[in-house]
Parts: sequence; C-alpha cells; structure tokens
Amino acid sequence: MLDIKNLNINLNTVYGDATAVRNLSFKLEKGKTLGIVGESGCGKSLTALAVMGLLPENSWSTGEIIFNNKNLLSLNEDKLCKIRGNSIGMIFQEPMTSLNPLHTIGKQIAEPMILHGKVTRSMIKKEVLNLLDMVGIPDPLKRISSFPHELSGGQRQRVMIAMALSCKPEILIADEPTTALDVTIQKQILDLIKDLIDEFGMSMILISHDLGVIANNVQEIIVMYGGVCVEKGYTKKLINNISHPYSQGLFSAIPTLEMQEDSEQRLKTIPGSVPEITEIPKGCTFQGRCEYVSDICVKNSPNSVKISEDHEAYCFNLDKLN
Amino acid sequence: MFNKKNIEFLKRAIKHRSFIVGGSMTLLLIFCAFISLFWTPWDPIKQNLLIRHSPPSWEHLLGTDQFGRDIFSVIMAGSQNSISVGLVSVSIGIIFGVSIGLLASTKRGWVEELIMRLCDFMYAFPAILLAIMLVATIGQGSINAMVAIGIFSIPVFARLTRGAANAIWAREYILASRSAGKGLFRITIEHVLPNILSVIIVQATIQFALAILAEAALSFLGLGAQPPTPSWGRMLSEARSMIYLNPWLAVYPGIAIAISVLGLNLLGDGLRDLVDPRLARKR
Ligand SMILES: Nc1ncnc2c1ncn2[C@@H]1O[C@H](COP(=O)(O)OP(=O)(O)OP(=O)(O)O)[C@@H](O)[C@H]1O
Ligand SMILES: [Mg+2]
Repeated sequence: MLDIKNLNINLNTVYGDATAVRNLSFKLEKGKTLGIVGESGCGKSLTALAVMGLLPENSWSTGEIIFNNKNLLSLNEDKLCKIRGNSIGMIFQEPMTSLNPLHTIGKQIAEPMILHGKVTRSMIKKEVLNLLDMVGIPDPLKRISSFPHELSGGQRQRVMIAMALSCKPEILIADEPTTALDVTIQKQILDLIKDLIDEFGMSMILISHDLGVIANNVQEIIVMYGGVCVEKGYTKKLINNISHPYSQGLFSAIPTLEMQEDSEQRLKTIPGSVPEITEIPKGCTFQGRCEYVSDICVKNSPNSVKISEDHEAYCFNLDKLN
Repeated sequence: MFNKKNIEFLKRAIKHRSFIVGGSMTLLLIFCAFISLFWTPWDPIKQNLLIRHSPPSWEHLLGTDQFGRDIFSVIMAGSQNSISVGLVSVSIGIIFGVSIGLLASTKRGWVEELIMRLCDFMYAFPAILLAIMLVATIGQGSINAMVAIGIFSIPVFARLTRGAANAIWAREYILASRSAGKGLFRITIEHVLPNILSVIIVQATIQFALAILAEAALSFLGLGAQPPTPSWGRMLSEARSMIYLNPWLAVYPGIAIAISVLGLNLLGDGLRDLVDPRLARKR
C-alpha cells in the first residue's frame, strides 16, 4: 500500500548541501505495523515528513513514495492536502506545542473531519465526544471546550491521537508519540494507539529512539543510522538475532528490570554521537563509532546481507560479529 | 469574552503606568474629536476681526488668533483632522502591509524575497520626504496626505507581519494542522493571523502617532489640510508669521500634537508590555 523506493532527502544547511536520508526503501502493507528506530538526528522525522509531503522549505527529495499507486513526491499541494489527515494521519513528538493555544480542543479535533467532509454540521459535536471518549479522556462533555493549556501532557497527546484518527486514515504515522511523556503514561498511550490501530485495521509507522518500545509494538523494524537503513527485518527474527553492531548497541542500551540492583551489569551506551548531516562519512555511516571497523568500511558502503528470510543487515563484518 | 485569561490581562493593565497614562491621553484625544463633532465653545471657522489676539479669558480659554477665532475651539476641531489622518493612513498600512507580509511568509521563496527587497527599498528613503514628494505630485489636500502617509506605512506593517508570521509558521501546531490536511491559505487566516494580531495592534498605535506627526508636517508645509479645515499643523504654520507678536499661537497646537503623540506612544509601549511580558523592558 505504501512503497518507498530509494528515498533521498537533501537539505540545504548553512554549512552547505547535505543528504540527510539516503537510499531508504521499505514497504508497508495494509493493516501492518512498522517501526523506525535510531538515535536522535538520524533522519527518522524527515522520513515521516517526506511521506506527509511536509518536508522543510530548505529541502528536496528524490526517489518515490508510492501510496495507493500515486507517487506522493510528485503530487501538488492541493492533492496532498486531500491525503493528509484523510488517508495518512500523523502524531507528533511534542504534545505541549502541537495544539494551537488559541482554539478549544473540541474545535481542533473537529477540524480534520470538517476539512475532509466526514461529518455533517449537526453530527460534529457527537463525533468529537465519541472520539474524546475513545481516546480515554474523562468527562468529554466538559473537556470539549477546554483550551490546550488546561490539559496535561498525556491528555494532550490523547487529543492529538483523536485528531489524527478522526478521519480513520489508512496509515498512522506516530513520530516519537511518547518521548515527551513520563514512563507510566508512555505505556498507556502506546497501548491506546495499538488498540485503535487494531480496531480500525490501520497500518502504522511508529518512530522511536527506543528499540524496546519499537520491539514491543510493531511487526517489522527498520534500524536507521546517519540517514541510512542499517538493519531491517521482522521484529521476532531481528530481535532474536540482532546483527548490525549499531543495532546491538541500541539493544544493550535498553534498561531492564533485573538490571537495577546489579552493579556488575551496567547499562551500556554506544560511545560517540551521531554525526551532523554535513559530516556523514563516505562508506559505512557507522564507521566512526564501530569497534569492528576495517578498511573496507571506510571505502565502500555495505550492501544488504541476508541474515534469514525477511531479515537483512548492511555490514561488512557480520561474520566476525557472530 | 471574560474568561480567566482576559481578566488576568485587565488586572495587569490597570497596574501598568504607561498603559494607563497613555490610554487616558489617547482617550482625551478621541473624546475631544468626538465632542467637537457636535459642539465647540465657539465656531472654529468663523472669524471675528474685532477680537484678534485677545489673551486667555473665561470667554476664550486660550485666547484668540490673528483672525479672532477661539483657539480652544480650533484645537478641539483640529483633533478631528488628526484622528482621521491616523485612522485612514493606519488602515491603509494595515490592509496592504499585513496582506503582503502574510503573502511573503506563506509563499516564501522568491515571492518573499521580492516583497522584502521592495520594502527595504521604500525603507531606504525617509518616509516623510517621500510623502511630501508624493503629495506634491498627486496634489495637496487632506485625503492625498492621508493616502501618502498610509502608503509609506505599508512596508512597516509588511516587515513586522512577515517576521511575526514566520515565527508562527515555525510552530509545531502549524505542522500538526498541515498534517491534518489544512491548506496554506486557511492556516494563514485561522492560525497565523490571530496569533500575530497583538503585535500588529501595538504597531498600529505607534504608526498612528507617527501619522499625526507626519500630517502636521505636511499641513505645516501647506500640503495637507486646506483652509478652512482646522488642522494643528496649519495652525503652526499660520502662527509662524506671528511668532514675535503672539508666540502662544504656536505653543497651543504644539502641545496638542505633543500630548497626542506621547499618549499614543505610551499606549503602544504599555500594550506591548501587556501582550507579551517577555518583551517588557527591565525597569
Ligand atoms: N530544516 C532543517 N534544516 C537543516 N537541518 C535539518 C533540518 N531538519 C532536520 N535537519 C537535520 O537533519 C537530521 C535528521 O533530522 P530528523 O529530524 O529527521 O532526526 P530524527 O531522527 O527525527 O531525530 P530526533 O530523534 O531528535 O527527532 C538532523 O541532523 C537535523 O539536524
Ligand atoms: Mg524526530
């Protein structure tokens, strides 16, 4: 249903032009869920925005994003407006700033449905109340006329979910929907999203920097680093046999409960940090932080290596690793 | 209307000194203009050569001028002219300036570049000089002066609007709203404009004061309001030849202009502090 082929996203920055996302390809079937995981700055949000046709002013993209047989990258703004919110919905990272402070939440939830002609005037209020109830906001009748600043972060994110799902889109893109929330709320929100996805039979792209969150909530995983895909596969296969050194690093950075009291077993971190987009090296993007780095990693970009059916990694040193 | 936010605003407003002082002075100006529509102590136009240059008295509070007109009445009636100049020119500035500013920040790219360079170009010349040139070309008179002053406040509003609007466009809720399928035009009208309205209103009060000054200058040069319409600028210019005989003729309209301009500026400053406390100057 959604087929991304060789997506490249280029940015014009103050330091010159740079490619922030390189040769990214993936497919999302109807009713399936896919996760994109990677550290901050590796191009996850840009990928999501590219699908929405909402890339920043100073960027341009090549490749194809085929959605229901249309290449989204070649559609004009008017056509994109008909797809956004209607066929593809999106939830953002910052619930605190993603709502207009001047409008009531009722008005903001109703907006997509009105824009896409999903409800008649007389039914709007009832629909909004339904949605508020559906996303678990207590006392919807009172909340419908609240302003965003009167709600907690978790409640606002619920409002955002109601907005994004109001038109029953075919795909929901959730860009770090829980990063700004505290841990107990995180799980509630993720469970809510998952329930609603199942209920409506939607597809989802879930974005997070937390491999744990991704592994628990999606069927297929893409690990991104420095704007490229370094490993991808079905969640079960990938998690049981994590192959790329970067993915392994991400995995050992997931805190677990047993760890807490155990002083021997510290949470591992990956040394170094994600390169700026203008400083992404030729060859393997992870070379600067990889303990297995060799000459070939600096010279060439690794090709896909099949690990098993529906699981592949992009690394020259896979045999050394295992 | 009277929700918590507004009441909070009112509470801060009545404690704000320059807002209260400036607001009162501005109200006084508006009040004068309004009353003078129906009533002035004496007819501000009718001359009475028998009582030229009479000193202040109970009958003529500020005395009379070289034609025997009651100065107090002329000043009162002159406020009408100042207010209409302010209203018309600021409206012109807002209607066109805000529209092209919004256009620039919505379209971005070369449209924005072109509009902003045009504004820079207009900025490069002193506005009052251009207004004088324009009025000299299209002909003198109140209306032309208002239009000329208005035209030269367009770039002020355009720049301000574009800057403020660009800041709003960068907000996350704009992105969220676009992701819901809202078009650029509707976002501009429904999200951007309401959020920059306060900055525009603050600037409008300041431009109002500048317009009153500019009109006084044009009238002083004989390019603005034509006799017999009462105008502070023209009072000043008529007083010029009498400066040794009766200097008070120049003082009164000068004070009237000063009070209005000061009042509007204080009001603008106060409003700016009130709508955005972060911008408030440290005192
Ligand atoms: N408008 C822009 N102009 C210049 N650089 C940008 C712009 N938007 C993003 N970038 C850069 O592109 C890179 C990828 O950004 P992106 O927002 O996709 O990261 P991300 O993976 O979503 O990270 P995070 O987890 O922090 O959200 C970053 O290095 C960022 O600095
Ligand atoms: Mg992001």
